Amino acid sequence: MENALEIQGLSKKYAQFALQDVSFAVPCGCVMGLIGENGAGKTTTIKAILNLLHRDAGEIHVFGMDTIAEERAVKEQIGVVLEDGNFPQFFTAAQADGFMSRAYKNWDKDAFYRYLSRFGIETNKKIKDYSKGMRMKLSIAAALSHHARLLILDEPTSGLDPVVRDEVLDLFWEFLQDDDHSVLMSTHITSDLDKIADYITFIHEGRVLFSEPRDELLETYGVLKCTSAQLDALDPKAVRASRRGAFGAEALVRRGMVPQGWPVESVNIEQIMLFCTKGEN
Amino acid sequence: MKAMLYADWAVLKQTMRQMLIVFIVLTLAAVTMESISFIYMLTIMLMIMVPMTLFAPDPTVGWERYSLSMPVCRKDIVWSKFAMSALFAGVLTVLAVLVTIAFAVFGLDKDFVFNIAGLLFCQGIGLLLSGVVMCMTVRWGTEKARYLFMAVVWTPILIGFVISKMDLPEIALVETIQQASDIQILGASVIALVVGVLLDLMFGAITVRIYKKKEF
Repeated sequence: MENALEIQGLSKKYAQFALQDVSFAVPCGCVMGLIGENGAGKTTTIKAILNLLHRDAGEIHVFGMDTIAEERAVKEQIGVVLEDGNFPQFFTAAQADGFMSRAYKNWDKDAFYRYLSRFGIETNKKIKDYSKGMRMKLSIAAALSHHARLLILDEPTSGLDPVVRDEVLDLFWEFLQDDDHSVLMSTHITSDLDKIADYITFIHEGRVLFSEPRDELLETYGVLKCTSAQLDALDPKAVRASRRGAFGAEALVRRGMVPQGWPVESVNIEQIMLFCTKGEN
Repeated sequence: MKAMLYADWAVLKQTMRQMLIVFIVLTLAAVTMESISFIYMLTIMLMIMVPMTLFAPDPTVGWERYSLSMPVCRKDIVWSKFAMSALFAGVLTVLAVLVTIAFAVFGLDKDFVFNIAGLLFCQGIGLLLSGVVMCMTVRWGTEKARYLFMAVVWTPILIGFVISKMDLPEIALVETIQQASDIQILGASVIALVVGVLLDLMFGAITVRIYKKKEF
């Protein structure tokens, strides 16, 4: 199966932060959730894919094309939704259509206006008069209307109410009905990824801690609540991360390596993230 | 580049109406003062405002960042803005020529050739300065570019003002201009305009290089 996106050895250094040797791949037809705490490097990674910054090292390929050498061809294949990037505020949806039709070879005006109609967006209303949800829907409509094969989404549901978030996730589901379509979604809202993601990549302090299929992750790991003595008695290889308190301990454990009969609870992505970020590894 | 031209034209249209109103009002003021050169200085100031106007939408909404995520190259983003600046300069030139003709026809200032020469000279200066401002805006952002530019423009103006108030003998350049024929003055102003265009293009190339290194 070809990968929609391949990142190998991506590095970028800033004064206070460094992205170090980030590597992961998004297989075709899949959704990759990119998670991490604030400042972990998720947006920096996305910016590197889009050539919004100059990487210090590493290679990035989209559908086998190098993102620097074939930048234009790559961007024709990508639909982008940025948390902090939008059309000028005085633009209307009609003007957004005018711009996009000149930017993309495969711009589908009919599809764009179908999305606008579905979202209830007026074509001649200025974007500055839109609610946050409407602005995000406009960005999503634009991203979905040029026959992109890969969607790159940076916090697409951030700040949206649950109803709008659900509508937005439904749109991504529709996009994914085509096996040739893939999604890379960076988000703090891990419950969205519980619904939609096939793979999870966790970035922490500029490094990838893991990049694995979501189902495998949730089957492999569980939460063990025990005493400190019991935690100490466990095989260290069984414990991915742990937290000790005054009244006991919690650990993110590999289910298969915990003695039988010990109560291991199921885990979700948020818990994995919290353990890996705040726990002792 | 078509996409960026479309977007930049939409940005420019937003402020074009105000700029034209300013032009009309100050033209009427120039009529009362019977001084056409006032209009020419105004065209320079309006041309200088265009680069900052074109970059204005970005800081608030991340438009530059968003547009760069699309199949739009950085070179196109810069040259589109230079093209809009040149278009705006062309419109101002036409308007200023019409005003100059009106001044000549209605006897307010009959030195038509000298005035046209002055206009062309000012347009050359305007193109050069708008290229400088565009370059500064890309390098340092709109706010810093505005302050830097004021320092760059006002320093020679203030020096010239101070010198003009001093009781100095007339310099050779002034005598040469006074003795030159209309054709010579017109020729010199055309050269000044061409030099302005070439320097504007040079600043365009420099701006492209700066923009290619920028990170968002």
